[in-house]
Amino acid sequence: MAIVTFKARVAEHAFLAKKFQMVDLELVEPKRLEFTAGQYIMLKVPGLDGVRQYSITSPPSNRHAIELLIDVIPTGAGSLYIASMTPGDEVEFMAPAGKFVVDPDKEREKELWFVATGSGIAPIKAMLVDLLVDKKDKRPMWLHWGLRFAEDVFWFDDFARLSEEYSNFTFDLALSKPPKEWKLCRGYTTNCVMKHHSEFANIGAYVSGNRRMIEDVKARLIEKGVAKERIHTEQFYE
Amino acid sequence: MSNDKYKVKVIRNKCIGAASCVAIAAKTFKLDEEDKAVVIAQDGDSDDDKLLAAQSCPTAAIVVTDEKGKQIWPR
Repeated sequence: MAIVTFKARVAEHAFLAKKFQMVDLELVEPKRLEFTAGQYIMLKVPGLDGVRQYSITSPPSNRHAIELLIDVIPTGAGSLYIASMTPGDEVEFMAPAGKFVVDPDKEREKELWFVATGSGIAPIKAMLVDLLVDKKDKRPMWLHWGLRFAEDVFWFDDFARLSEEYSNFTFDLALSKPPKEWKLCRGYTTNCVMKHHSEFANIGAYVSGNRRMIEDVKARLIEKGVAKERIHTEQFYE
Repeated sequence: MSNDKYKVKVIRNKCIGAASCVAIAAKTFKLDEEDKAVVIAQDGDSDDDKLLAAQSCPTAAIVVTDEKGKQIWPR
């Protein structure tokens, strides 16, 4: 897919949790975007040289609009720009880009593990909806998502609903600073991943978020015999 | 504008393999087997695209210099 410059209009700007926001961009010209779940757009930020990358969090089946997730802390120029958007605003971006996509050969990865911290969930949400809802993929899939505080949590109901509707999908939300009553995983995401699994053969891991977590998960999986080529990563922030 | 006025260089240890440079200037950059960007040619894409590819890099891992060797990006 060749990269194309798009004009779009902000259709919705929603506040999801303390520091997470979502914008829905309706495509104006061209009106249709073909992409693979996990890819990102490169947003032109007025007054800045270059572009800023944002993963598309909506699935490819939605071709006329895309959703972006942003973490407004730290307050980078791109995040501030998106945070200031209101419905009707016009934006420009280039898309699609990125190689963080699910291996199309189902035989190579018989079980899929998705691991994210913070806004690293953005491309993974697109992948999961694409696989489970649109492609009816029956392979066992796990989502291990790490946030810090209970007030950071969003999309819990969306993932919980997916896990109820698709028996091959298991959702595990980890908080590194949980409240006393937290019943799911506590502590670092990497430890939660390793705690849940004892079989490492034929898995594909899709890991997205902060650098330290990515390096940690990668090292632990390699130690367990997972081939490097089966560990796919996308670094969002330090 | 000539295609080879600007020269690009990848600072390997800064590259995280986001591949935005490859998306914008595919005749200049590719990802190698370690998913790091490498320069494959200096004259495959326009100077504008080479500069935009460098500016799109989230870790500023691409350095652009002009024909006199002056650094254009990162500023």
